[in-house]
Amino acid sequence: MERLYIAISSVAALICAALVFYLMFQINNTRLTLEADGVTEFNFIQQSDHNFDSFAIELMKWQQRALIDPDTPRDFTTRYDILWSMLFMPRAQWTGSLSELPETREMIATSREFIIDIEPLMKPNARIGASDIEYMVKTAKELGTSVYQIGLGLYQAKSALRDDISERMDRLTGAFWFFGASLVVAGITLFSSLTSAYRRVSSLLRESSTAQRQLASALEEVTDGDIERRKQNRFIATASHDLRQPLHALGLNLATLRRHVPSTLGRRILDNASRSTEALNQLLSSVLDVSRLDAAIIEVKRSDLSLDEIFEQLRRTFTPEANERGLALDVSLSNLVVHCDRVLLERILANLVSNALHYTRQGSVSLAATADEQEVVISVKDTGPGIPERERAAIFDEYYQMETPDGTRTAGLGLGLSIVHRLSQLLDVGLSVDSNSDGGTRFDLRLARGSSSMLELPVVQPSAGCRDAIRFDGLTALVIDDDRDVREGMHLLLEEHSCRVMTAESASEARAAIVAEETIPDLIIADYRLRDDQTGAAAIVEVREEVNEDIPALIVTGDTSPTRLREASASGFRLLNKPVVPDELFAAISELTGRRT
Amino acid sequence: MRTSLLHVSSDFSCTALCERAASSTNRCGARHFVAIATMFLLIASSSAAQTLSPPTGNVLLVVRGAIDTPNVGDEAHFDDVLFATLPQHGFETRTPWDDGTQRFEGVLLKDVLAAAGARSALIDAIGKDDYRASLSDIDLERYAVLLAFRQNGSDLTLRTLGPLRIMFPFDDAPEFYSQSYMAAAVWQLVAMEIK
Repeated sequence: MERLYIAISSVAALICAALVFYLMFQINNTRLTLEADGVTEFNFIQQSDHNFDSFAIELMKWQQRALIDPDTPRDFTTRYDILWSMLFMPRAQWTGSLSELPETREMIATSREFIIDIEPLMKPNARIGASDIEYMVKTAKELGTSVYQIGLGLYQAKSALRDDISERMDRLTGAFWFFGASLVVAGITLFSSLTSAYRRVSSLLRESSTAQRQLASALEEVTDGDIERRKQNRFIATASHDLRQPLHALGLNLATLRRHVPSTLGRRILDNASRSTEALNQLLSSVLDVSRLDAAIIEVKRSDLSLDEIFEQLRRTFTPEANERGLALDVSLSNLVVHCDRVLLERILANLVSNALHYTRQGSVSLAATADEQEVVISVKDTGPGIPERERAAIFDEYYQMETPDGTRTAGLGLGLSIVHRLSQLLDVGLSVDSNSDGGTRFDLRLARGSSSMLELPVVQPSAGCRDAIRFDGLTALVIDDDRDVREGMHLLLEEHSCRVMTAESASEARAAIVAEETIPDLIIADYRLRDDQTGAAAIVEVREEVNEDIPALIVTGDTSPTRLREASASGFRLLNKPVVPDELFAAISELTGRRT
Repeated sequence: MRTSLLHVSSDFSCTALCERAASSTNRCGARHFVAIATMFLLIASSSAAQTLSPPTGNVLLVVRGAIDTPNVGDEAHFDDVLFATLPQHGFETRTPWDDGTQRFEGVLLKDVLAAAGARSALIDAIGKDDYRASLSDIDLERYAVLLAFRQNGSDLTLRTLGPLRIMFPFDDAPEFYSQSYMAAAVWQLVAMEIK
């Protein structure tokens, strides 16, 4: 498109130049014509003047000679004839433009009159007196002068015209050169600006394409990284799910086994096994947490919490481990109240304490809280090796593990602190870490204060001993799970607690069982992922439809993938994760059925 | 284009041939070639130098300068008798000075110059009113440039721009209407100078 504009303007400029040239050429021609023209008139003027003069001169010469010789030939008659021919022969053509002038016509008229007047005197033997000669000479001279005047005037006019045209020509030439120069300058400017614009455009294009490429590759990297990370999480989630089933079964079975182990040694061994199971459970839970964070299905329920309660719980949970490691666990009570989500806060603190215990070889781990007007600061301190400054940001990364003092790898996947970090972000609480140069680490958590008047009643956690006391007399539970071991385990566990159990692999089997035993269950416990892509939620709905009753139900799932968790959560049924902590299971059952012992 | 007038014998048949060759209004190049060829032929066959008899009546034209056949001193004077010996010619044409077609009769200028033995083509024509014009750039061979003494059957007088007048066949070529030709159409001719 640009080229078209350039072409058009160039052509226009050329046309202008051509026009100017043409005009100049025409004007020059006019000037030349004007110069050449006038020759005719000039000839006529010259000749006429000469003729009048010659006539006068011849007359005077004759007069002189005639004094001596009266028969002197009358040469003046020749001159007269010439004058006559000049004035009476048609010759409009060769007077040229003179014939238009009124002075010319007047002169010719007067001359003609004169010529006719003196014709008688031109006869061969006419008598010519001195006065005649005087008159003729005088008139002839006068006429000659008038011719001359006309000629002079014409000459001047023509000269003036010619000069005028010459001047105009000069001005036009000057204008033309100026026009030409300005055209050239304009052309150069235009050309150079176009070139620079073009260069700018092409460099911009290059830059933009480079930027685009960089952007695309960066995006790719990010996406890839993202995809990689998601793949990792999915893999872990899938692996976790497969691990959870047997763990779930294991846990159930161990819980049931306790009653059947008579010896103290046996029970101690069983406790060890239980602890190992618990550890495994923890590991899987942390992975589940990450998945749930990814799925963004964690709901934050804030309430006013008593820190002393939470600290007490933590102390109970971690003292065994601290003793094992030969570390002291100092928990200071403070009577402070915070406004936060109980479960999530407990999780954060549990992770921090657990982490501290892992990385401290000797000394102590302390848990304390201080407060000012608006904030409460919870500190978890340890006497471990400390965290070098350059690693302080990295420790919150997923799967990141610091090197332990003895160079061994610790148990764990390195997810603990990343979960702490993400949860703290979710709860919008301040998290900071500090280390001394001679060792020791301190994690600080800054929370909003709560009002003690709004304290939540603590959820009673049944202790290990209490657990046995829970009974579900007269309760019939329907367990739907496609894993045989899990079914067995659940069956045994619930039966231990006086619960009648019906088991089924799928919804259709469940319905068949209901029909066969003519019993409607009081509770449905369904696994989320059932055979043939049936979901636990769908199975529950099917069973409910079968009996036309809204039987209380809960879903147990070993899934850790965010999507599945969202689906399960969206189903509306109470959700428990495998491996299920028996206490949690009983608590859920109690809630749903309203029964407890 | 200048004509170089060469020695031509006063063989009438030859001049007639020349005249017929050149007098036609057809401006074909072949005819021109024929004219030149004839002239060369005549040069080859030229014998003794011609002579010009002296005038007996009123001298109408004086030819001076570089001439070979003077008859009065070193000038060639022509009267009407001498003009009568030359081939008579005529044409009809319109002129810049008259209305309508005029008929002119006379002799060809080149014949007059040949008769005078003009050695060059550098000719000046002089009029009775002391007007002088150059005929050097006029191609006397190509066109029938006439020395006219009759116009429309009447003899020319001084008053009617005679007795001799150089006339071009204006109708034959538009270039006759240019300044140079019109200035060379000398009337009231009295003399010709050959340089």
